[in-house]
Amino acid sequence: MKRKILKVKTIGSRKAGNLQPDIEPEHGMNLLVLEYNEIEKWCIVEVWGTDHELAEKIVTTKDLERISKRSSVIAILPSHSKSPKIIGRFAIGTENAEDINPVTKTVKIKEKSVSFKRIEKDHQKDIIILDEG
Amino acid sequence: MSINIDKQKLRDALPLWTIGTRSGDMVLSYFADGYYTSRASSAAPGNSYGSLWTIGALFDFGTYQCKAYISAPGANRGMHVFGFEYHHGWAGEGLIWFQNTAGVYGVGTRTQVDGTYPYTITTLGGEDWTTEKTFKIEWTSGSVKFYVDGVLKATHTTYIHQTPMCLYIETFTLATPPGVEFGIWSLKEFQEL
Repeated sequence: MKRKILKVKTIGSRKAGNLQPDIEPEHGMNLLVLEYNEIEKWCIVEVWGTDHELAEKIVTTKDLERISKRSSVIAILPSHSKSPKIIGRFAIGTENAEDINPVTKTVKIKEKSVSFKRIEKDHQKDIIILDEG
Repeated sequence: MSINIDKQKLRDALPLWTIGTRSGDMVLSYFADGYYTSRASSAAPGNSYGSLWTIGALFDFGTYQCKAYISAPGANRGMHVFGFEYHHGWAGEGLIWFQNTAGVYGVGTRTQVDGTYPYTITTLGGEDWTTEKTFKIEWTSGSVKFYVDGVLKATHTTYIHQTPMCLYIETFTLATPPGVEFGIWSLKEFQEL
């Protein structure tokens, strides 16, 4: 998983119901807000995405560096106390999965052999965690 | 024997987007005290679930809000507090949701891609939805923004479903019965903004 922590200006307000970072992630990226400072109008966000080959849009370190250069970004932070160990996951249902190999951690999906992290029991069906972190 | 039905009262009770219900073994879904509720008994077995959803996929790109709270989040249970689903019961075909599963808060987006069912989940830390919160979803063709009590918590740009969906809530037990009562009191004051 590719991740980057940024200090970013905020727009909107809690009262108006739309307090948010002044940054829109690019396609493929997702964003988690770790902290707001409503008085000084900044927040700490973590932008993340996966470079797994099955991803809708692969996110690279270079992509995260590019978004870090936006004008609303105040600083790039090396870490943050509220940054979760696992920020998110990219997963897929087992409906199209064939040849799941728990030793090599590979699975064939639509004729393509790809890596996975683990299989998780969902409440209805098993799911394949392709990437998490 | 005849039954007298006050049609006006019936119309008032049923919203235009009629609700469907699924009540699994000891997991019940109902409307009471102003809340659409999905609730599991402490005797609920593993892999049992209950839900409420609109029969029609009436909700397209837009901004939607409701009030909700959950009780007793924790291990071996899950609650989808507020979300949209393309075909209820076939989550892989399209989903946007707030969740607490196995005690972990999160949000997700999912849609069908070339016959596969991928999704993205973001973990939310520092949350407590055991008192009533205002949940808001801003859904566009390129992203979904998830708000709680007027502040953005997360944005997704991946696996965004592109056609109208049903509104839903869901409570379920995981493989091991949790042995405690839990559930969602949700969809209060649901509205499109």
